[in-house]
Amino acid sequence: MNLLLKEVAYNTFKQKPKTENIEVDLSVKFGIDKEKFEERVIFLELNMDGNTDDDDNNEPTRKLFVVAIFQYKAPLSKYEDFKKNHSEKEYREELLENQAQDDQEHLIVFLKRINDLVINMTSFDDNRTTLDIEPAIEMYETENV
Amino acid sequence: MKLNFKAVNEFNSQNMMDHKNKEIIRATKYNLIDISEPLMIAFEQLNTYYFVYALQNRTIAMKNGEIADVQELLIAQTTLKTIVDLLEEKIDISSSLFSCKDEVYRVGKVGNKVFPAKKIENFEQVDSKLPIKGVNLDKTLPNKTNLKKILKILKSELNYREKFLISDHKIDKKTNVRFSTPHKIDDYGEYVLSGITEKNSVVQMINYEVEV
Repeated sequence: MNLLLKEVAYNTFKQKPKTENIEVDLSVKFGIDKEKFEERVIFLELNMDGNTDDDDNNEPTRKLFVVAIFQYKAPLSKYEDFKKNHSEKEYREELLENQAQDDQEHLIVFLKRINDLVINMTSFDDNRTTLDIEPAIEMYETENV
Repeated sequence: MKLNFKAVNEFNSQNMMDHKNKEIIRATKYNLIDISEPLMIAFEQLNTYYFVYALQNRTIAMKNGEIADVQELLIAQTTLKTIVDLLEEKIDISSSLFSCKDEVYRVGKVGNKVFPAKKIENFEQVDSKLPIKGVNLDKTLPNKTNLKKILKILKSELNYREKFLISDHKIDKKTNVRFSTPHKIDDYGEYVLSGITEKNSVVQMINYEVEV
């Protein structure tokens, strides 16, 4: 597994309201190596926008932006027994059926690493709460997409 | 076809081409032409690339003495390969903007009034505001940007990405979470994300979208 951090930016503004509204926008995309089927990649883009929780005067409090790439190998070895006892077509079908689950597991590992990064980056300021993306990760876990 | 990316939302509230405003686009951004202020930029949002070209960016004095900023931008979807080709002078500026003909739009605003994005069908509709055909992004243009550096970055990016088959919308997932956090950390330093504590009343709102 290999994590590449392409871009990380954290900006804080003057506003330090008692309650702030944090908008988390987390997008991921999957990729598969054209030649090596087991080589996978996940592209991630995370935008966190903090705003004062005030309808009349909605001002930014802080912004966090992360672009990262996570490269990993799909665990094809666990299907080797299946491959021996079944045809190539059945093996491919089995892989297609299960690869989504495998990718999902790696995605959660990746998101947790990004979460650690977000916590580390935003925990230095005593006057602001530490940010995290746990609610977003929980959604990925429970949705089973 | 709807123009759907964050840049337009940012544009509605901010001046996209303003040097002082560093929060312009929430994406990886490269200034391609920068004279006194950025004229052309390329940016990426999760493997989708866009060009933004300033068709107009000026301040006018109104009859009543007020002044207003007039800004009109051309926003075109493109590919990493096209950006690299532009930087390598294989294609000219105007052709690069119309590389994905179905995804070329213009947005404009006068003062605080924002005009909706309008699709541009062909080059002739905006040709008076674009460089003539044959003008490449080369050293003859006055430019503060270090194009060699950008080309180096984008070329290595292109080589990396060409190794992979990258998913389209089928396995693209998007989540949007909105929640309020308490500003104060309680006496024990415990960070409370949801629920109601004695000191902090926390409202949690979750509104998310998942695209599969």
